[in-house]
Amino acid sequence: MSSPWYERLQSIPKPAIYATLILVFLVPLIRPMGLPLLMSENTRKAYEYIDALPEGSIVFHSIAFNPAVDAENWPQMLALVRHYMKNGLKIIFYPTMQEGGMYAERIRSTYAAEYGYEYGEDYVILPFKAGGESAIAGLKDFWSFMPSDVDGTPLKDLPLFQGFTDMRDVDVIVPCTGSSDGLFYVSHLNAAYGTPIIMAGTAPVLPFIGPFLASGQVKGAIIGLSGAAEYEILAGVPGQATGAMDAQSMGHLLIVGLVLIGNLGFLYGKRVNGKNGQNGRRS
Amino acid sequence: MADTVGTYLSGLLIVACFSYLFKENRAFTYAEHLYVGFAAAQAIVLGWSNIKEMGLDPLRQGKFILVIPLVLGVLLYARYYKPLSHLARFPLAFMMGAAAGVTITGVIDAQLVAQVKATMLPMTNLNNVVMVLGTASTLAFFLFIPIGKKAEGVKAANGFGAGNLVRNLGRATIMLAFGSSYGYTVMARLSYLVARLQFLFGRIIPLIPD
Amino acid sequence: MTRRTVPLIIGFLAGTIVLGKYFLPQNAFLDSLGTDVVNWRTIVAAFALGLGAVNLLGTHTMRIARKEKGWDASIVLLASLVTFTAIGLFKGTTSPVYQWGFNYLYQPIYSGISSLLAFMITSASYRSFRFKDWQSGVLMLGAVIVMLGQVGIGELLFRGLPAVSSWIMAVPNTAGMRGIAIGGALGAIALSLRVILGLERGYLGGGQ
Repeated sequence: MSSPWYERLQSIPKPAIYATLILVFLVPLIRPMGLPLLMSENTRKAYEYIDALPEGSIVFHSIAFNPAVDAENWPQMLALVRHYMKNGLKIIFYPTMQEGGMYAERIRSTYAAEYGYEYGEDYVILPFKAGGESAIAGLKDFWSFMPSDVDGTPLKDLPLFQGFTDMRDVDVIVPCTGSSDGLFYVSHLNAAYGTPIIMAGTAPVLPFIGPFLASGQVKGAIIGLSGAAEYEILAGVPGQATGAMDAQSMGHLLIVGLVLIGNLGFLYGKRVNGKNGQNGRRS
Repeated sequence: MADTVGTYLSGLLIVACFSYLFKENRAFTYAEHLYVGFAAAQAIVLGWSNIKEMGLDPLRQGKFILVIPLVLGVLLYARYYKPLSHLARFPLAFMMGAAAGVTITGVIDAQLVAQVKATMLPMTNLNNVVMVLGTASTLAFFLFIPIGKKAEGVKAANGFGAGNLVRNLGRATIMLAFGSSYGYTVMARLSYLVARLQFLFGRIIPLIPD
Repeated sequence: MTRRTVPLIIGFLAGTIVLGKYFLPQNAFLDSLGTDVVNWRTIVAAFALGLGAVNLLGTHTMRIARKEKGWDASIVLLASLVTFTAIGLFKGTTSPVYQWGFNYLYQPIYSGISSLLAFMITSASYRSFRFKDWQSGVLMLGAVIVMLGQVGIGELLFRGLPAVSSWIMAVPNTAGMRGIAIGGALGAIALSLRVILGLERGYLGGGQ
């Protein structure tokens, strides 16, 4: 005997869910739907802050993500870096995750040439340092902690570091992160020197930095793939995040739909079976 | 040429990862082991470059004090030699102690003082009222209100008084915060798949328009 | 003595020196010593990065030697470990061949595995989000509003949804997370003090 409809609503097989998810993503990717793109206040603040920096200002761009989350962080980083380069800002890349240096190398090998950026003069890649929070706290004594760049060249020999005394010379810190590690910059550098922080984080990072955005310790934030898409549009730079937003929209709709369907079955089952009876769900 | 080969290889590897959805299989296991091997190699290489740059090179230039962290570092490996394995506790204690110091210096200003200060808002509009009461009740829920069996005892003694109101307000705030965190987590996880599909159906099978 | 007391003294000294640098910044000796301790921690942590690799080498070499189940995959792991360690050490991580390995082997596998989470979270949301009581209702409501409020389709369905979602993030979420942040800070300070004072010894492991 087949189970009642409210039970079946709660037991859609996994393969069907997986296949629907792929379809729901693929259709809008292949045939874009042109859904509206929202503009968050946090992204706008981040953009405006960076856009207002005078040419030659120093951006300290921390790379604290790895391939697990680069679907969000890499489009953010690319949009930000293109914006820095468009506005003639000097960039110091600092990987605080093992894989971070590889993303900085992509900028050196491929994207720096787009804007005629010269290594050593317009941007520098610092080496990864082990130690997590200590590797950020150590920056307060910059020269003893960071004597050379990723190639082993002493920083004092690089034009970008001529006249650089310590982290107080940095105009903005942008941690691009897949975790709440970016908050270590708030704890150690913003607290000590008042250096402004703009956070670029994966979507789950936003709830954690919310209190710091509200208190003004973080000036703005680019969050998730939607943040990357918003930034690409604001900065007028190319990127792949914008094209992904229709698919993202449809994915959210699918999940909300599934949650509603499951609950419809659950609540009806509860009514039929009584409050203390079975909820109608088959395992 | 190397890039073209690499692009197709990447596609195959992503498909191998997806094959796990059907069942665990050889292709997935090989890919997984290849990844773990690379990750370990990366840790060795980057660790060595840190040791060389911050320890060995300055030591050669006469900064002999650096013998201390270098010896401590080597002692981490004492754990593999049983008679001396207890010596591995020295570097561990050093790392824990230093990290504890760094943590305290980090959270006092930024996370404690600044956040308490930012909560001292005039209760002149709804947002400020929600912010102050929400923060206070969340804190109270975590720090001062007993939960579990203890809570039952308190409830029995106090009835449904102010404590219960604060508990429920704290719970509601936390649930809303966790719910929204969950929403953002979903957003992140979905974008991982979107990016892989963009790669597979954009670069390997060119169906997605530029 | 060397098994427990010495490690506790080392931890105490390391922690107090870092704290001393913070609270007495005018003291040049403490300032310089504090800087050294933070820098040394990076060196010791760098040594720790190799521990995982040593464990892997041991485990997988044994598995191959004993031809245990999955020994063929262990060969892949060891080949990958040895090859990329050699390339990284002798050619450097900025060399084209190392970058090729990262871009075309490591990155696709790592990101491919993490993208499986999209399937898991879709299925888990469907199966576990249930309106059981008012608390799960609030949790679900927060999640649904935020999920729809962050994307374009949400605005098409309900015009005011993005504003509601932004308000949830800016006010109740911030209030809840701020409470957690302040509580977390108090907890972190308490735990760190316990470590420095030697009251927290779990990290030393068991035994004498």
